[in-house]
Amino acid sequence: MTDGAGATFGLGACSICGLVSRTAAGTERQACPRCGARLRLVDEHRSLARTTGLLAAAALLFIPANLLPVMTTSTLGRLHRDTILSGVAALWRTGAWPLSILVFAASLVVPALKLVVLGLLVVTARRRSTWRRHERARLYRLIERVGRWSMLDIFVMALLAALVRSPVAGVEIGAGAAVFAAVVVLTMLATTAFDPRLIWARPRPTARRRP
Amino acid sequence: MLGARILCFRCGAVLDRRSAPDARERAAAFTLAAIPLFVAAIALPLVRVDGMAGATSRVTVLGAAAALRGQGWPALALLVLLTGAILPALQIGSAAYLALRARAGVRPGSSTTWLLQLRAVIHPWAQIEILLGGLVVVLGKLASVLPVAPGAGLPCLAAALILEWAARPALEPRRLWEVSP
Repeated sequence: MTDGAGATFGLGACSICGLVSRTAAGTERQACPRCGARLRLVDEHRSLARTTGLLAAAALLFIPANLLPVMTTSTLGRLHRDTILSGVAALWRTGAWPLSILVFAASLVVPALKLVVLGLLVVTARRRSTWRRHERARLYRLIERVGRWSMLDIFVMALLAALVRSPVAGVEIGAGAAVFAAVVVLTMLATTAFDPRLIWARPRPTARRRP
Repeated sequence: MLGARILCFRCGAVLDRRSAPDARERAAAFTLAAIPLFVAAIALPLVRVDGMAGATSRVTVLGAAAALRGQGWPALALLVLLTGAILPALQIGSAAYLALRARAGVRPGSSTTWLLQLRAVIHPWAQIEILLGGLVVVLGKLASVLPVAPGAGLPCLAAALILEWAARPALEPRRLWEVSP
């Protein structure tokens, strides 16, 4: 088990109220003496195993999420199928290019960024790498902040499905939308499963070569 | 100094922000005002389309979730219901409770800890700002083909979001254990 910086001195910070208190070695469950919240010590194995699993599932689903149609629009009996990317392109063609950039960023750039960054963080944390820790910490905070925006397209589809309902026009949600939503949920869960304190874990003692 | 921040010396994350002396008073007022606005945002139409085959089509968050369920996607409907209505309501409601308690000078108790733990979990999933973004995209997307217009619920949703944001500095968890903000 690797802990925060204070762990060397038997100290741990409460993740709820921020109080730093003494942690007794060997005890499993410890509560913060001020607010009573359970002290969350770094559990390297659990955090990495959960993040890896969720991330692998998300990466697998990311491909069908982009290939399957998310929406079928019918206008006067004519059917038009859209994937995430063709939806962005259609928006671009109508001249609403700031919006198409927003949707492109939220639906494609953000999920791809989450997969790449979390992959990098898991691999480096597994090796207890000391490589560019500040940058890695900053990357984690970035995906933590922008990761939720990939829900944007789900809201758009839901609103369109409810709004465009008439004898002449309609919007039907496709399987791609459900797969895409699964990617969004899995990558967000993977982000919370990763404990950023692992970025600062002490490197493993290297095996000394015998003279 | 207002706007001053304390950063972690190791990783650079923001640990604490200085807030205004009357932050607790303001947080209580903001969060109380956000409650009726959010209720209105849920109840009133967010977008409407006039004259679609002679009828006006309106949509609320609940209507959007119902449409997904109606098309055979109950899990998607639940996701939209949670992220667009239930969790934001919990976020605003818990903020009002914490702000009023802090304003009254009640010492934080076990309910505070419990609520703060709940708020930490739901925080990424309460997505008012993303719902607002989605509404803007829908307006832009339909503007070229249908007579679409923002409904009365949309400004209410935006106002509730701004008020909830404005109350955040005073509700930083570690703030609540300080005698004065």
